Amino acid sequence: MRLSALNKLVLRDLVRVRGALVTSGFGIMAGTAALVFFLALGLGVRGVLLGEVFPIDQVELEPPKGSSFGQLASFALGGGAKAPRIEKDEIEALEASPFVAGVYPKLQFSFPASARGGKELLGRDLNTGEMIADGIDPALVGEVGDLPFRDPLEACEGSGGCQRCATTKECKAPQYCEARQNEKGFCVDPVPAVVSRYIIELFDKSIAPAHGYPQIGEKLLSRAEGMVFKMWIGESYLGQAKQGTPRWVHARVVGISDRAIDIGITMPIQTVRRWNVEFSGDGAGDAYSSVMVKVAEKDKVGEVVELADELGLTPKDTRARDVSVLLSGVMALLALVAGIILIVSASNIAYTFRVLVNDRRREIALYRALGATGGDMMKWLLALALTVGMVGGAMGVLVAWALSLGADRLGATRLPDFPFKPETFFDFPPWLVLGALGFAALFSLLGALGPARRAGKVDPAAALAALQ
Amino acid sequence: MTVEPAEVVVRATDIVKRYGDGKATKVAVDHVSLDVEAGEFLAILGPSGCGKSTLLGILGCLDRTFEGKLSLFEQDVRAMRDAELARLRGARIGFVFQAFHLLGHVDARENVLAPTLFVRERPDETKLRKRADDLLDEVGLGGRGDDMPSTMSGGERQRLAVARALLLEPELLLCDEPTGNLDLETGRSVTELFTRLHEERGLTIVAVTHEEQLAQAASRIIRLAAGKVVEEE
Repeated sequence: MRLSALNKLVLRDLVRVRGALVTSGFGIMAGTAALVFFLALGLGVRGVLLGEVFPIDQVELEPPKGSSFGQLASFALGGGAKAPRIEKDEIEALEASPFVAGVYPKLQFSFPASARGGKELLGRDLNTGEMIADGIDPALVGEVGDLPFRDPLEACEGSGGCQRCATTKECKAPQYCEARQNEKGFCVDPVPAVVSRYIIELFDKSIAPAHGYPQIGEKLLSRAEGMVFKMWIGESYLGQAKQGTPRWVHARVVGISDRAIDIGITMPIQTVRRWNVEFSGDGAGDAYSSVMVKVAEKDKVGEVVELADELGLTPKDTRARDVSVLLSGVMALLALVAGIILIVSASNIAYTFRVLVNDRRREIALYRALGATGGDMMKWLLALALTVGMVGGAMGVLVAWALSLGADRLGATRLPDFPFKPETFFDFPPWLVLGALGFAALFSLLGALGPARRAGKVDPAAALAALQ
Repeated sequence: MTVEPAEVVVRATDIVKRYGDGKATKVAVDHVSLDVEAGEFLAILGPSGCGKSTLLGILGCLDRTFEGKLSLFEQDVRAMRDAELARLRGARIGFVFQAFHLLGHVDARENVLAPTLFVRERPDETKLRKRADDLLDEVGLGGRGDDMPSTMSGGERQRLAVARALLLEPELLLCDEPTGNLDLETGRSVTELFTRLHEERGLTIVAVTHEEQLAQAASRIIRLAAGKVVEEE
């Protein structure tokens, strides 16, 4: 049967039995709309959670928690507690794995510190009684803005060198004197630091409104010179380092990075190593507190975690995996609901088409007499079902999209601001739209398959004779 | 491509058609053998229920559940697949039914054009529409192409069905009680139409009927009773 002839028969039917077909198509539309709406919502929320809140393309590994007192506990003990360690051979084993795209060791402060600053942005200085900080390989952070993310002492190497100093007064702002107490040092730029989007969101959405501070997220990103603050290293409210003399250093937030720790600041690992040695001894600088592993492919996180387990390392944060599992479960449940609607729609189509075939036995028999094969009659019915499915499916996608716009509008106007509140809660990737249309077509075809087979088997002689 | 008509268009040998199982079995066609030559007008005459419509269904390849041997245009029907039979029906056989079996949802012209839906090769639409109008002219329905079948009388509907049957220039026209639903006068005009088609076109016609008037227009008559051939003239 030619496509043009099939098209002609289907178009005639769309006019002839539009009432029944609209009813059938409505079910498909409702099922598809539910499927697309729920999946787009799940994908949108998943994108925000796993893309911004808990990135899943990286996993941070650390020694088992039992072997560490934790950073704050360590400070409470005057920095005397033995820091958790990851040795170089473990780093090399991770680097050799085909599932790993990159390994970036991290080193926590092994000494207490506090900080003060922010007046230029907030109107008055903020104090933090404890400063939590990590050191990280600058290669992992990459470009975060116009200012370099590297140990400021690196600038003193080579031919140019840096000005020698004993106190910061001898340096030209914003430089400060990086020197141990009673020793000569160098005038260097503030130590660059990056922060997480999470902490900025937390500040902007929770702390700033409570204390009347302005939001800083956008400003921080747009300020080329960064926000400079002072850190008191070697001592905090909780205690003092086991060795060394506390002193002031200067730091500068140069940008936001996915590689930064959630709460605290992240600095070049070379700087942290130097300070750890200063306040905790030589042993605090030659091993790592954790390691950030970039996974080659997102679905290979499991293999990386298995390898880490063999090395005696555990994921620091399983929230991404937990959230992923939870979201997958919720999406599967909602998709199941939509699937049930589609199955009901398919049974509705089956009923409609069964009635259609019964009503048209004479017409089918006539077509057989005029040269149609049983297969032609099947194709006719299936093409009609496919049209109903595709039109119903397309309408369903449009309805889901319209509902998502409404939901986003409600979300924007009725929901209070919260960290990582997205502009849209929905994601409509092309595969979702095409897949939904495919499902709509599939369920329509499944519904019509039985009646179409009956149409193909109509006995023309009996059908024509019965109506003589 | 013009297909030369075969010498013997239909050759049915010892055809038997049974309905039902076991003791309830009813023999509708009982060992019927007949030949139809090209250009012949054969009337199969008999009372209602004698099996003539069943026999016509078999001859038109609409019913394949029979015993015996049947060849159409020198091809063994029993050896042909469904698609081949459908092609044979569409290209070389035209059907006219007692109940007309028109498509009520399209106009007269589209009814005439209905067989083109199942032609494999893409037809020349303009040429076919002209041919449909010519055929409507020929059967006395000139200018009625846009009318719906529901607006036509019984005689007009049957003429429309004849025009549909002739669209693809079949070599064999099978008519099942073509005047059965028509009044005497209308039946006579339809009979004259068949006579003209037979004489002017040399069309091979097999018509089953219980009406003497139509049978008398045929070149040969076979009388059927209780599924058996009882007389041939």
